Amino acid sequence: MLIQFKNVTVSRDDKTVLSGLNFAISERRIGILGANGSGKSTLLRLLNGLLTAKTGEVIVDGLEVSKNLAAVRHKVGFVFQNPDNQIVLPVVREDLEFGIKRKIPDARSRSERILQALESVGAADLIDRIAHTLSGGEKQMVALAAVLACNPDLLVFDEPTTQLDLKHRNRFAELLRVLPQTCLVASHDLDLVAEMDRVLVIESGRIVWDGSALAAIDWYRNHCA
Amino acid sequence: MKSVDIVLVALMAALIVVLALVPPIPVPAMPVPVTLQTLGVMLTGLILGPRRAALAVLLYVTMALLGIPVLPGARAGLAVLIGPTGGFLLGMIPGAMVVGWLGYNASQKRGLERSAGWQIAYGWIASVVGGVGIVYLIGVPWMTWVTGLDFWKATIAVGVFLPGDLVKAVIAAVIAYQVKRSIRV
Amino acid sequence: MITTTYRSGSSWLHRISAGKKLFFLLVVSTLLLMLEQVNAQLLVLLLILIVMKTAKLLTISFYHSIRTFIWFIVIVAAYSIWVQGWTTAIVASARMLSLILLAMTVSMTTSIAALMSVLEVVVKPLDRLGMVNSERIALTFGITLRMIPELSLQWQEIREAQIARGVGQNVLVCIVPMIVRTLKRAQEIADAVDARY
Repeated sequence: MLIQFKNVTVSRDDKTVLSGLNFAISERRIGILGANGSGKSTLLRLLNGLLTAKTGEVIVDGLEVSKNLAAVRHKVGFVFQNPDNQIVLPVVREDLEFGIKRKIPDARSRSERILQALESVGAADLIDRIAHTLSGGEKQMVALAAVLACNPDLLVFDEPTTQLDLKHRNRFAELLRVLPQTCLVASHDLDLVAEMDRVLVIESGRIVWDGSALAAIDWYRNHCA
Repeated sequence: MKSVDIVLVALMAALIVVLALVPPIPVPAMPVPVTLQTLGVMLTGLILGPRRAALAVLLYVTMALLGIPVLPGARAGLAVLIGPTGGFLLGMIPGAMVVGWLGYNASQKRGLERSAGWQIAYGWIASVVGGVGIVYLIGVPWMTWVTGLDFWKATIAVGVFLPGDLVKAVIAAVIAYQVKRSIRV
Repeated sequence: MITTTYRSGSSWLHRISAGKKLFFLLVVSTLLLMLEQVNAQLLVLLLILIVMKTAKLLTISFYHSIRTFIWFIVIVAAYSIWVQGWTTAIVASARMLSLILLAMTVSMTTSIAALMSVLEVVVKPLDRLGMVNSERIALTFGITLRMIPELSLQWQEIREAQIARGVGQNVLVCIVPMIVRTLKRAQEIADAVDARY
């Protein structure tokens, strides 16, 4: 899958958040490194149209995001940092249904898809649980399952392991290795980023490094730590 | 309505529930301990504006009538409409709308941007007209209808809560002012 | 969440559909509000109590839940006797009690889910007329239910932080941070909804 940013600028409240982003990605595992406030979150949200660029184009798998919002959102799954803001309905099953209700009219197929998605993250036993009673790690798994149930081609993760304990962090890293979709991960977890095929470092709204994971991490450590 | 509006309505409805369930606070001058429910409703009006506030309070009242324990004392059910708070509960829906209609733009009225005092006064007026005026306007006749008490006798009986509600309106105005300075809704 | 008014069971009242019960409630309530004779009101009250007895609803927990209402009726009755006379007081008291008992009977024998289904049925025609969007209503409802325990937790955290700071007694001081934190979540939750909808 090809992701292209062509001269992308984003501003909010008269402040430039991203300026002149220009790159093309075709790798399967991409990492984004950047301090809070660097524009990292904004960059991610351009991929599924939650934010739109003031100038330039964002193209995901041949689709220009701003002109094909619905189609892009079918292709791109977004996993947020805080699973409490991502699981929007009280019972796990309900929440997973929410994402696919329109796409799959048949109740039985939906049920199958939900079970499959939960199984793929090892959380099938959580299906009838009340979201509030789950642990942080369990919630993140459910949030991921909810996104996977929508069958996206690209997965975007915004700080997926920040709120996880070690056990769940490792489980997530395991999953990340085997997920068939293209994955773009923004994270402060340098061990996670080290396993990416390509890493971009962003600072003050610009890409300041673009290359292999280890080199990027090295550069990041020296310049931004 | 955008998604964020739906979420705001839901969040404020949930917030009213949380505030309503906070244990009542005994206050020296008041006949009964004070709950934060009315405060929650006034704040919803001031913070969300007329339409979203009305929806949030409608959601709250609907949950209560369905039987979900969201009223002070964890009470609920249709019987509440016959109890002491019946009409007042229903009155909160248009009440919140009026509070929002009058007080949502308090910080944007020309000339008021800098003066905290005026913004709070504006918010207070909005909270009193909507959160007290409208609520009592529906609550008292409803009570008359249900209890068979004479209108004026009912008004006198209920009037004892008025000073407390006027104070709640001040608190709501102050809180709303502080909230709106921190975040844009 | 603490207990709801619904008490699960299998009495004959439980088995009647929610819609029928609500309709019956509406009809009888309207009737009661128009009835002014003492004897008629007392008769209806008696009938209601008998019905409740047959459905085994007059339990101890029932008396607990009805306590506040009883107090209200007593106070209104006292006030009423003082300013309006005995007859009005008895009629009003009997009527209020009947209404409350009826409403509670419906609440005790009808689950929240059943009542929500009735609500769905009522809203559906409005949906077709384009006046409301029942999907979004359901979503709003769901988000509220999901967030009540989360916000409750958030409230506890803020309270504890304030108590640790020594300002514990003042509940009001917790409200501003509570609202600000809650509102800040709105955009991200909305994004999560948009991303999957």
